[in-house]
Amino acid sequence: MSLTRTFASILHIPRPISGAWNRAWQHKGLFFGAVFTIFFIAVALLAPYLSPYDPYAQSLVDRRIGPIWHMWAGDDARASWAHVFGTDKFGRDYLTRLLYGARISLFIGVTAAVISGIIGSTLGLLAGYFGGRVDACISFLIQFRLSIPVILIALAVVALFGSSLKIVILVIGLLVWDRFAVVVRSATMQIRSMEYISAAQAIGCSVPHILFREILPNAFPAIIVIATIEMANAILLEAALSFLGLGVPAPLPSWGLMISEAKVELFFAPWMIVIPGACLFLLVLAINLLGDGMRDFTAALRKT
Amino acid sequence: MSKVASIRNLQVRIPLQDRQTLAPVRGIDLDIDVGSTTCLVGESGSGKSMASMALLGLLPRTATATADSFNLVGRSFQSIDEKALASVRGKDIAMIFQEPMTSLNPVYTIGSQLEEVYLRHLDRDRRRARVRALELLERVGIGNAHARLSQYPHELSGGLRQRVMIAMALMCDPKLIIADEPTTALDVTTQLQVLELLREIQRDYGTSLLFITHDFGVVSHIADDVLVMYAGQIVESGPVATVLGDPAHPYTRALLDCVPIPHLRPRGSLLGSIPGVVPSLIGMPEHCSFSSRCSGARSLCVKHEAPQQYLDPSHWSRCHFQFPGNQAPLRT
Repeated sequence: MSLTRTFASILHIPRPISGAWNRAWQHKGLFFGAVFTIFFIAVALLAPYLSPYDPYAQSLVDRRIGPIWHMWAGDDARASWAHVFGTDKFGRDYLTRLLYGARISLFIGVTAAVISGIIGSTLGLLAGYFGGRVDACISFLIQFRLSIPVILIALAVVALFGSSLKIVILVIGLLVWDRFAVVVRSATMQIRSMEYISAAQAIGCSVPHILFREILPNAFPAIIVIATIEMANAILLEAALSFLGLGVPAPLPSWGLMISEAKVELFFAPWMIVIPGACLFLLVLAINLLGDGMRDFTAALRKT
Repeated sequence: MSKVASIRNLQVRIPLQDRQTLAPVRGIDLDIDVGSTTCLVGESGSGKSMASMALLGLLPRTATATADSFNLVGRSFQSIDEKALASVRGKDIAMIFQEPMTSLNPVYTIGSQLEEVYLRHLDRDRRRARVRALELLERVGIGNAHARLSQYPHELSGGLRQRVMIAMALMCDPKLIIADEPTTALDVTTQLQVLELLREIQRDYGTSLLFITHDFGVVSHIADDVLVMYAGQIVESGPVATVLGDPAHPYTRALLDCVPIPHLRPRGSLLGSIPGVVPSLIGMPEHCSFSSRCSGARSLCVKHEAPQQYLDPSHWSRCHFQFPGNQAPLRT
């Protein structure tokens, strides 16, 4: 309790309604989501320090070494603590590739969420604030976007431009802004009827100022919640695209790509598909729990 | 006496889709003397808030305002809209809102919201803005002003927030403050303190005040002049003592009869009420708009609109039968 207080004062977080930190602590979903998300972020950031190997370095003599439990079972003489999850068919350390894979997943998740967040929030703000024809146009745009199948577009884009990390991020970021737009639009409609918006107009604030300095900060709780959910979505979408061969190109250690590469070895080395799958599952679950927790939490704060 | 506002025939219209038009404000004249307090009184839906928003150019997007002449803070305006009035809004004319709970943005500190007004209109020096904010917070009676500057709105009570709003209105030394029911949302003891504060501020700074309320208790406390508004028109206008002491329009009399304040009413009398509601904004009658609710309405009242008639040079009202002796047969 006192520790969180101290943190809050160091970070200059506005003093919350009393007991808020306490309640955040007790919300189990929020807690586990936050812990696991922070764990994955730490792993991604510290990957070069956690592993002595290069994720791209191939070694023909070290091909297809079994994971550590093969040493315990005595199945594989080469299995050892040197390669905890073994190596793949090119002799690359599997754990190292997993660690670096967290970087790619998180990077795609964050950048795609930021891009789609900027697009969606701007559209939502404009639609909610101006209403009328602007709203009708933007609502049409949202419907239009919802009618486009993302995978199909991704297929077409990759066929045209080839696949790269940049293209995957852009495809996801430019396509999944619809939820931001819908949520920010309704939040804006609610906020613009508040008197502090009239007060801002009365002191002579310009429209951009009112949109981005007065309304946007108040819509931020909703945006953050959507951002976490979209981040998880983007990570899954990237894995799906990579699995289909439309995502990031080899040899990048993306989890989706690792699953895709391991599927031919499913019956010989099932762990190679299970481990990145489990990582993907855990990361997406953690981010979703965090998002849900924050939604519950901000809703509870608003009630008090 | 010079005037801070002199407006002739202000009209607000809202066109509807089916070629009908709402007219929430139907030709009002507004004169506010420098340094005086004018109260605009009327029940909900009488158009008083619309009229005040028109002064700031902050009408809803679909509404349009017109006037024969529109002089504010010594300047004459040709058109009355958001753009035209942008130069005076916030600087020469400030506004205080009804709900202190929602009129401050919850994500910014009190200090930064106060400074914002100053930085926007006077100069870009943040330190001077802070000094001014501190000075005004102390002036409006907020103790420990320094600490308050870095607090957020949710940490302040309703009364304190309304004081902050008053300080914010004063940041640029406005010539006119429009207060739209600033005490309605406060509890009674706080109401009185805020009223006293507004009166002091007004006296010390020589600011004119346009005070919108439906509460005659408040009117008797603060007003110099009273305008009684009904269905988009001003039905009675005059100095506070005359209008409250010797009301000429039946609407004013009926409103006063609803006030539970002892010194405004005879002992032992029952509280009055006005039957019916304000006429719909669609299809406003051509004749006297109060005739449907007036206990003394006669045949003339449902034929013609009552002209503006002076009882004395400063007091007029819009009733056919405001002069004693000018009696016509009762409507049957």
